[in-house]
Amino acid sequence: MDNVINGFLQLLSVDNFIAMNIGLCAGIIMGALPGLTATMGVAVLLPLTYGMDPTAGILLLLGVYCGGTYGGSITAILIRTPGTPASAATVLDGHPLAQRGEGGRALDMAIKASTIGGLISAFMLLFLAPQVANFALKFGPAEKFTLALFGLTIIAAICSKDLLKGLSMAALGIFISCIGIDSIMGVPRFTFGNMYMEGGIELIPALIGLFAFSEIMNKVRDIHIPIGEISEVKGSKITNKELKSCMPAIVKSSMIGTLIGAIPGTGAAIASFLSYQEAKRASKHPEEYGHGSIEGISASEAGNNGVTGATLIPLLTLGVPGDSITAVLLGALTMQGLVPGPMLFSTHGTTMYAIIIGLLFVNVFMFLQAKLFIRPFSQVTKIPVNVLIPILLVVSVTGVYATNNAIFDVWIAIAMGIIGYVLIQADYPVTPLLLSLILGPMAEKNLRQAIQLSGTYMTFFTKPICIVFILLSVASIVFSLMRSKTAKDLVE
Amino acid sequence: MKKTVRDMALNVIFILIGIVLALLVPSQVKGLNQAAQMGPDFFPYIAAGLMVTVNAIALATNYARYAKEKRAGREETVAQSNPKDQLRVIFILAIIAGYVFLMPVLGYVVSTLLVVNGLLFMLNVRKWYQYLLVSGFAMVIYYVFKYILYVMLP
Repeated sequence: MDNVINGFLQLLSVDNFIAMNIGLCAGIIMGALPGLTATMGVAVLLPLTYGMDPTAGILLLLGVYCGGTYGGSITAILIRTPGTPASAATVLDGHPLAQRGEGGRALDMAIKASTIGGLISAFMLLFLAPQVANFALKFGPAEKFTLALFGLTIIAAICSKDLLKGLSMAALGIFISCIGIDSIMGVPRFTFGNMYMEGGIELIPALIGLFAFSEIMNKVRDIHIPIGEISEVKGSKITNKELKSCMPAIVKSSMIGTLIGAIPGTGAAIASFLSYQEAKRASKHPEEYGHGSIEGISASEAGNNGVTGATLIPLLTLGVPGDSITAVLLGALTMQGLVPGPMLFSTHGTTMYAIIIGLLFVNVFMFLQAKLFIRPFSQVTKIPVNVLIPILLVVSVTGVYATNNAIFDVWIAIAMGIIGYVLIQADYPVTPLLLSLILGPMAEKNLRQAIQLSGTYMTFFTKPICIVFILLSVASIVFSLMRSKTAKDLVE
Repeated sequence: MKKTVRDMALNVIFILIGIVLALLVPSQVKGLNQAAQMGPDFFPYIAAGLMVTVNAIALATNYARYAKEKRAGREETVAQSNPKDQLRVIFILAIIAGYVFLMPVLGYVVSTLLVVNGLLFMLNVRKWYQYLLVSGFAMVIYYVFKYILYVMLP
């Protein structure tokens, strides 16, 4: 309880509130720009937090995360192009409303549902994260290895479309994570005599390369593709009666989003579609869905913002990022000296509670910013891509350089960008590469320590927690294979 | 290009990379301690082995799909992007590489202004105020990193 109070007091600083509002503004803008995701927003803005206080820095990035997730709905509603994959379901009902001149109502519902979803998710984070962290304190090397193994099988869940491509990327990521000085014996691996390589491939240059540079290249390639016609923000706000009638769908979708978000390997897009489907199933007017249903927008938006707090549960307590955006946040936390994992709440309890309580405020400020500035935000969609590219490039290059004041890191980011660009074109997902880059060292270090301590591989089958994680890993792969087969059967 | 052919080509590339990596382990992982039950070479071998195994399975699967599609006479093709578009990407990469080379020589400010304005011109931006806006933004970034975040920019 002391940590909660101290965390709240630590949060009450002007710097923190300014940081979260800057992050929110940048996030909403990034989310509203078609093709720029919240992940890219967090990756690009991450270097700006280097010199900041950890609480302010992380709150800025959480602002980008929440704002970016909400911002995607602006383009989804106004130009029928989801700003982020998480807003794809919002297009179905948001754009028909905008075409009828009711874009204002659609946007009003989107922000109200997003805020409620985000708040419920942040409360769940506040109550559940400390319990999970307490439990995770019992983990030794064997448990941590099986946890990392479970994290790696998440790759299977992410890549159910083509498991083998996902595993290829995971293998590449594991290999890249091996570059540098071995953490146990201190011997160099795959450094090719280059002293810069001895530090290994750092996470920040890798993720800026994978998510920012590759996206810049994609934008340059598709620069001639015009964006859709932009609808004006017209129409009144939704009434209290309408909001009340949508509340069951909003609350249920927020819970679905929270549940989905807490499961690594899922994400906001899945939560959004599941919430939408469930709301449609339970609705008194399912025939309105897809033709401008306000309830449909509320479900989709509450669902996708409902994941924002919950995704932080496995990240902060176990050190396992569930998707690309939490992988980027892991990089940010590590840069700030807040290494995610079971010890985080013991060593930095006050700061963690400041951040978690701050997430509640982030959602409140998101509501206020959207209500006050929705018209300027909607104008962002008119910024030409060819003007945006040089800006993104300079921010990315400068950010990567600032990581260690080293040009070498920029070359690493460029190389990762090329890998990302080429392989994305061939339908290889980059998230498994990033996840294995993070989880690979965790798995290797703990596997070797566990074997050294026990002297036998059987140690993993004698500890109950290990057995649970092994079973979960097997279940994750089997479930993904079944889902992959079902998807293929449907296509055929 | 046929999708299965493209995928098979990538499978072969991944297999070759995996084999090369496995062959490089003895020379690139220094100070191997044979007494250790699981040394620093274990995970590189695991990564290389996984890469080869997974892609060998994928190659066999893709070949079976290729043969099946060929028999049925319906081969899925991938949309070819315009060579001009790909050329533009290569050009951008060259500009980024030039930027990184020039930065320590010309300094951050000059190289950044050269690159952003060069890029705007290459991307067919013809409104003068957009050049001014982007150049101004680049200088704001310089100010933030140099004087607020205390980053030693070249």
